[in-house]
Amino acid sequence: MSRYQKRGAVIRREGSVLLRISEAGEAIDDGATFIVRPIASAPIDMPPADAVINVADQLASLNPERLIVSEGVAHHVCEGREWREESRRIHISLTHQRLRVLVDHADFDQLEDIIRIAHALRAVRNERAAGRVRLAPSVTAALLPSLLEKIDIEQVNAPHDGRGLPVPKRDATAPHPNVFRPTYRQRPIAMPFNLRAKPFGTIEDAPLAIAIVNGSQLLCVDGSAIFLMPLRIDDIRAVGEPQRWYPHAAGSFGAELML
Amino acid sequence: MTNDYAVASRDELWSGGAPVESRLSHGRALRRGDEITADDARDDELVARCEARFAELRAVIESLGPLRQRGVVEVVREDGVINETSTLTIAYGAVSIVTMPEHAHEDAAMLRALMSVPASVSVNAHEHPIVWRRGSAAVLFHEAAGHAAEHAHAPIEWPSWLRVTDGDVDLLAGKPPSALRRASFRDVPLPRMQKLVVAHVDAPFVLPETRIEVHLVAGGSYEPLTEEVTLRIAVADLIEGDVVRRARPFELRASRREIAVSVAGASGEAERYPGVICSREGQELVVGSYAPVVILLPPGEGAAERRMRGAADSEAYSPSPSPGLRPPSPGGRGI
Repeated sequence: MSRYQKRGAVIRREGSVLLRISEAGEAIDDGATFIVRPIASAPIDMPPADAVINVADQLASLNPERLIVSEGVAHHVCEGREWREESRRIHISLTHQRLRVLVDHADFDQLEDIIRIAHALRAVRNERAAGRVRLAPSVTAALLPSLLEKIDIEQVNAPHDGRGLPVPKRDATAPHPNVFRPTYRQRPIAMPFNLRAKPFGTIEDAPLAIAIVNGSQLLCVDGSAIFLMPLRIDDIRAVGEPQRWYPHAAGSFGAELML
Repeated sequence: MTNDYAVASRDELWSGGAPVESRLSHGRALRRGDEITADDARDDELVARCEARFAELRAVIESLGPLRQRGVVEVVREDGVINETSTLTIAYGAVSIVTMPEHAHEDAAMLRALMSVPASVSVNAHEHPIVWRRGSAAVLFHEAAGHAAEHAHAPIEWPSWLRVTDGDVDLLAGKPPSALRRASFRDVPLPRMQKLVVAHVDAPFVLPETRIEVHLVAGGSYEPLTEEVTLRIAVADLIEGDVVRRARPFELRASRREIAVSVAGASGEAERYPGVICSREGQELVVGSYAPVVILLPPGEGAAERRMRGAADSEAYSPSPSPGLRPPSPGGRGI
């Protein structure tokens, strides 16, 4: 039988509404039934709202279709292991006419990346055929979970997985020894953490894809030209060094990737 | 705006005649203007009511045998008013329905009967008239009228004999649902459909000789950017005169305007459709759904062209195959 307990506090701005949420609960897996229930627990300090409000206000000026900004702190206990996590998240949906871009960040830095995407989306005028292109780190990070069988990807080490066990550095191949547990209300899922494409080749000068549009196209910038290009991952020529961590699946590192 | 919301809920997933997952949840959310303070405070009265209702639901689950089922009971006190709901999702093969305890046996039998006929023919939804039976037209209008109204999209012209309402709200007039609903105490309440009813007043009805008859819908979506509706049909028949063949699952994609001009007739009283779980902004809610038999002529050429383009999705409903049985989604909304 395994028992996992979590208590936490989250401050979240969703559209114009600011939520402060605190809760604690446990999950017990007795081998037959996965049982989840709230537990009485000492309260955990709520993160201050300033940063969330500040970021949300800045991004709201982009008139997004959806905007969620959150900051949270959680304390975990699992089979004698205790650990604490702090997290920041931005989820924003930007639209223009029939085009939609989803952006997910795990920090409140580099908001200019999001602003750049919003401006480019409004300025896009034409489409080009598939060709050589560099994917920005945020685009690569979003695609990595779907590239596990196509390029060499490794799991980068981290102090804790969903059971509080260390996440070792290893190839991100099945079977995955670590489990992901984004909430105590769900069964933990075996999957690779902190994906990182192994660097190879040379990143050359080429148009830069800064976002994925409608799940099937790339929003590209080439000097002053802004255009759409089909998203086709059939010839990966180079991968650069990881630059930033993104909250896709159980985490992935963004790096430039050359198509 | 102030609002005081408290909830107790239990959901259990059963498989092979035994519970494999069991979740209790309770909490409270106090809203003052644009700020909500929420925690998992326990309201003993709500929890007691919830557990009592779930005992009744559990008896229904056990009586249905080894089917894969997910039962959910939710007891809410909102600004002093208590409301109880009890729903059961039943899966059979790759298809599931969402029902209420009092209809569970009848709906499970219907599902078994429908799933006992193997699919033998492929169909193109854009080549044949579609007759929406068993209340399934409610899903069509949920997407084409309900979500469009939630997005405050401009009203379009529908047949004068058609009525689509949510409570007192006329969805065809583009008015958004009046109910503010939320999936949990951690969520922001949004205007959401609660009980969609399709009706008609002296509608024409001429049954085409060759037609597709829809019985169950696997899922659907409304894309607010393009106003396009996508419906994935799980169980349908191709009828050619006296020959009835079960169709393989297929997809219908058309703009709401194309759907509006293709609605050709309706007949009878509104029937309860077993199962709409609507997902919007990551919040899954059960929506009561009722519709008469409705005829839809093949949507125009534009729809076929869009069908080739690939889809984006936004507001979606998904009673099957498995989403209705999945546990609550985390979505970063709580811990």
